[in-house]
Amino acid sequence: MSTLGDLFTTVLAREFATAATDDGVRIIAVTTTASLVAALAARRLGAADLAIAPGFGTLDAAARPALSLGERAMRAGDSPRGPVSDMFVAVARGLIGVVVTPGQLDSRGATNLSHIAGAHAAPRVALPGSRGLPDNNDSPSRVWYLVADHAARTLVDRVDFVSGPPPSPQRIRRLITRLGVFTLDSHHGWKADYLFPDVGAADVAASGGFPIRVAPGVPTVAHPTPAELGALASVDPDDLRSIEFDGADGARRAQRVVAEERRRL
Amino acid sequence: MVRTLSSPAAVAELIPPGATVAVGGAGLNRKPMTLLKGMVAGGIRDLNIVSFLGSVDVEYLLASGAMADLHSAGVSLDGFGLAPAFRAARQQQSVRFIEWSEASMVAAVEATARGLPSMPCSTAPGSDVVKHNPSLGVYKDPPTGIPTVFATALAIDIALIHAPAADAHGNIYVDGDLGLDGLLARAAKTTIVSFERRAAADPPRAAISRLWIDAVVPAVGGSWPTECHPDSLVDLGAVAAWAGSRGLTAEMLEKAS
Repeated sequence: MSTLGDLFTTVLAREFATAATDDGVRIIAVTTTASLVAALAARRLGAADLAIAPGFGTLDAAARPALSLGERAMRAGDSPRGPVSDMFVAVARGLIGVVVTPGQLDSRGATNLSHIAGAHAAPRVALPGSRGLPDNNDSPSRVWYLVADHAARTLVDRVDFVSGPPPSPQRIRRLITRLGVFTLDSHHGWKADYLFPDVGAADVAASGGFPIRVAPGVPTVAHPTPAELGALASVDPDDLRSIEFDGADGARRAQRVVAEERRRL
Repeated sequence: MVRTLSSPAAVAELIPPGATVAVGGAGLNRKPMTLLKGMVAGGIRDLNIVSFLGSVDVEYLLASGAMADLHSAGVSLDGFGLAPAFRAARQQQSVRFIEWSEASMVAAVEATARGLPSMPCSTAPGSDVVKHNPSLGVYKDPPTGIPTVFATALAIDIALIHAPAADAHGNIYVDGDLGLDGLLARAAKTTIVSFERRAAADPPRAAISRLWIDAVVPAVGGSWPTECHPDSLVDLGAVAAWAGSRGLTAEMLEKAS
């Protein structure tokens, strides 16, 4: 029996492997533990040469799962290092697939990671800051939006602050939530490509703040195969991928990982 | 000639109040916490802080009351979520947050290093970051007429960096991601690097040449609780406790000394 973390990570791994084998994506820029595990698994699922960028100047890291990205995840010392500008080169050339986690995503594909409501100088809810969203949202590179919480507060008609402006029509932009996988069509808005098991069009219509077209007969995401589960277990034996999906259980497991790490320090 | 400071606390003698201080490292990696503690202990206030990707460095400086302005592309505690002091400071308007995108901040620092008034960057002209950051503007690229974001040079008085090793000449050795540190060292009027240990001189392997360094100082554990490969891992427990708190604990402030 696979968990939501397994399912989510498997979907990502399939996306990465397909982008690498069919569309020339050479690098995945990861931003969460699950996306890092998915990129590692994609290497075992047909995209053996896929490079992983868990840090800014390290686009081809000898990566490993970790609760914090950066030096730990990239196996510093074992990974080649380039100048900080290499990331922008890879984005400009469309060679990298970028995984982003905006606080808000809107019906046009605009993103927000700055603040919710209020003015910029006096936000009601402050978010981390726009980071690379203004630089990559309309770039030739592929972007995946990870918004697990498919809700009206995260998927909005118009973002409160435009970190990343809406992408141009030819860009490939995919959204992955707990309900399914969706693609932005700049002329017709968001449409469902796959729904997760036991999710129907009514669930999608009742969630989120903008309409998503769900065509009759839209396929259901296939459960992870034994080969896919094997790949996940192999690259992430401690199941760090599931921590962000497991609520209180995930928090308890994260605490155990932290305690174990402290003993090693 | 690269000076060796007598102690991390001596950093305060080199930083005037109101200076623009760039903090090296990125996220939970190689934040120069001991140097920041020395600066704060020396009573330096009203600082304009530049932290490309901030984390506990920004949290500490907010808790200490030393920061007036913050230039950053983002501040968080990585997998542990939002940075509580940063969030509260923005919401309570107790700090002026000048928001950059990653590409625009890199362009602004590179412009400074090269002595240019500004540099173009790949930031989208339609981003609200461009509207709200007075150092960013949209201009037509002269040869093509294409609207392009230009980042005004970001002047930096002091860069503070933490590294695993330095040699006797002041060359700096880093195994991990250098982030913006190489550019910061080139752009700052004065660059100070704390380091975990001395290394044998091997200039071809140096991550940052002594040419861009003004002073070094030994500081074992100088990035705690952030990582400094291979000498220390992120203290995940400390970061998790911090994320769950409303700000810095006394224990954390003490341990950062």
